[in-house]
Amino acid sequence: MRLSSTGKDKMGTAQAVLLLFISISLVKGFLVGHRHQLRVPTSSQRTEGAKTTTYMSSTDIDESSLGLTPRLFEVSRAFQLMDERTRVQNLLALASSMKPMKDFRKLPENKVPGCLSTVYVHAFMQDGKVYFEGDSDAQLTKGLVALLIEGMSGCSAEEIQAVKPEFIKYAGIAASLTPGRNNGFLNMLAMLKRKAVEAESKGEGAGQEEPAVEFQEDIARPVYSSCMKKLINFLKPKRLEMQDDSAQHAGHAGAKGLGGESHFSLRIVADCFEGLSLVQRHKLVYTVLAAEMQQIHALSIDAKTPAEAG
Amino acid sequence: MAPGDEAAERSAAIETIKSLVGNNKVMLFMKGSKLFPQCGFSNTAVSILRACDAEFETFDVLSDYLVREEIKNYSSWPTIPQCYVNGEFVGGSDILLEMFESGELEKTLAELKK
Repeated sequence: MRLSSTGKDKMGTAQAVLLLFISISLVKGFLVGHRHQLRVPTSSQRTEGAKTTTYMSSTDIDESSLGLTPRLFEVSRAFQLMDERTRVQNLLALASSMKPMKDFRKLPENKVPGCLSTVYVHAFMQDGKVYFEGDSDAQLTKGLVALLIEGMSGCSAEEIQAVKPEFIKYAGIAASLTPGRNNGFLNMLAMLKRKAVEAESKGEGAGQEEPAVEFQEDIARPVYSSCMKKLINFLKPKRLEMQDDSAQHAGHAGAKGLGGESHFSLRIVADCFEGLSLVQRHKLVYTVLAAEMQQIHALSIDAKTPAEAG
Repeated sequence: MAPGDEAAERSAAIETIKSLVGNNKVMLFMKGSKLFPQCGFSNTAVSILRACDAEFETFDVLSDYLVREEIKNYSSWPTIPQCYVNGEFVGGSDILLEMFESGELEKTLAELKK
């Protein structure tokens, strides 16, 4: 059975999470005294003439060779004991119980490359440890992100670097993923590692600021959404309004088609404009929106400091 | 067009920009002409300068695509219109409007007449 992103089987979230915890407790109880080693039966087949023989061999895995964090080890073992169906249900349960990521953080630099679905990850430091946030538009992919985040949050960047992607084989998940999704998973882990190092170098609290401005992504308005996210992240405005004026310019030569998103007006209030001339303020905005300026025809800017805005 | 030709034409466009900006106290790069602006923002810029009784020259970027491209590099500014006073880039229509409303534009233009 290949895992696809449509979860046809629905199980109550509470039930699925309960199942996960029961599995983990069972595993913990059963393995008291044998914490670091587990025999995992693998089978190999050889065909001689018309006869096919199945041989059983066992492979010892231990958490130190895979560099697993304690939590990741627990989660992997729990998943190992499940059947396909239960694994899928648990991934979906992890997905829905994961704390949602705020839209304004969904920047290109937070997007996992090489993933079939759209996946965002974000990391910050708290009390000397790295914590993660993640999101995806596809539930099963979101479950994989949630699994990694659940397993690695609260660890040091060094511990996170040590995690070997091979653990996904032992957790029994790899066999259920298509090559494309496997590749996506490797990219997710790689990005989480990179984000962990960046978070550590940025230091305590960085990346945890809540913006003063509310923002909801609008898939139907990609240019607008992209501009808003960048302005919020880089200029940290106290107030921000961006209006699509394209309809007003629909007739003239510069307007681009009927889709709108060609002419905008922006009203922004931020501390960063302090001491800057009008030209410097507008240039700052143009620099932040350099990529979008290539697509839009006109941007009208009203940039004030909080004192000026009143 | 051979690459060599384009480079030469581009240099020529940059020279045009430099001489226009250098030889005119108030220079406006716009879409359309002073009499017939082709864009709302360019129209605004022209109206404001008129309201200040300023003497100014204009260049229609729609007539020359190389100047239209190069003027954006020259000022590190992505849009048209662009207003230069005494060789210095002052802003687009938003900035001209703000400066006009605050009185700053008339003051700057009055300095020129001295």
